[in-house]
Amino acid sequence: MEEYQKAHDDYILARSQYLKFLTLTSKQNAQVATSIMLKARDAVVVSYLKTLVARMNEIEGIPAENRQTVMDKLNAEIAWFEDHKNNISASDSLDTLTSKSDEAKKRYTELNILAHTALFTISDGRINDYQKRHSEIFQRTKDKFEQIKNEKREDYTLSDRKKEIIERWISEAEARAAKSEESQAEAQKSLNLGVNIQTYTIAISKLDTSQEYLKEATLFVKEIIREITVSE
Amino acid sequence: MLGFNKNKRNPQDAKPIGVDTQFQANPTVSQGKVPPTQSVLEEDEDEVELTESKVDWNPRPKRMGFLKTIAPVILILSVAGFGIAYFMRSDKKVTQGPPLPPVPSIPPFQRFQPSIYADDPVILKLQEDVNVLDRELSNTQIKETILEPPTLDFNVTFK
Repeated sequence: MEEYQKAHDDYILARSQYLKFLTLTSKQNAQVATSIMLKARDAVVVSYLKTLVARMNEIEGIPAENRQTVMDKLNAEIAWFEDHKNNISASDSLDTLTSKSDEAKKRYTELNILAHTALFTISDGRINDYQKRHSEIFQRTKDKFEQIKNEKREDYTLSDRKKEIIERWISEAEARAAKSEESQAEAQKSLNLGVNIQTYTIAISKLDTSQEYLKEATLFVKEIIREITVSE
Repeated sequence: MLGFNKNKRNPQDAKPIGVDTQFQANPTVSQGKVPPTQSVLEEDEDEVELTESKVDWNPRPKRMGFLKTIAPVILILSVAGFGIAYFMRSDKKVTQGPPLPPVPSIPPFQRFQPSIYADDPVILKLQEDVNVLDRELSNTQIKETILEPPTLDFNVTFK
């Protein structure tokens, strides 16, 4: 990004000098500065897309099919921008450079939608991962509670009052987990209308709500465990 | 000696009262010289009586004067104090916003007895896993703010 900033500053200076003096030297300088800036700009886009791909690989909760679809699109964009970057030359005329810049502009505008789709997929994958882990911990907790309930040994049994409390926490945790899933489904639904900044923002806020419910559900599981580990 | 009205005394015929006055009336005593004879004392007593009748020995008017000065000041101060207190209270009422929500009191610390399951390996593993998940859920921001598309300049023109 720093390289791009410097190249962009040089381009702005060369462009203003060319427009002011309109000499061959200033035109040559403008061509060189513009080509360097366009290459640096493509490099930034490629680097950004590669970061998205790396992040998508990190998140375990992304469904394989989704992951593959989005990553294929991202890789196709990486290839396009790398190819575009290699086709830029300092010997290109200013009109050619302008034309090549416009191509990249069009592509980048479309890429914005793909980038936000990828960002949503990453956030959604995180929620999937948390839900899966919560569900697994919750199931183990319930299994342990069932085992304790079936205990016949005197020291190992829980009082009816404690059992009632734990059962209440179990139902509360289940309700929160269900609400978390509902919010996640709403988030996915809001993106089905079409991905743009507005729908992306709505979808992310739904995922935030989903995360909050999951947090509450986890607190109830903690409370169940605490009840089991504390004496009457 | 309080309330002794010096202004009304005639220095020529009035003499001080009591032992001190006697000593002052007869300077020889005060100077440690020969004590006064009986006749002299009798004469002095007569003179003292005369003097007492002439001296205005009444401390009440002075006290009353003092009270008359102090009482209004105390009254004004107390009225001013009540007034300030009232206005401050009324100001508070005006500037006060909505009432604050009740602050929950911290329950007293109770030492819990661990149950027989406190050291159960399954429970310990569950505790560890749930704590890790809770920490992650609390510290993770779902929105990937640092991965927003970069802002780039695509307006390249030479006109």
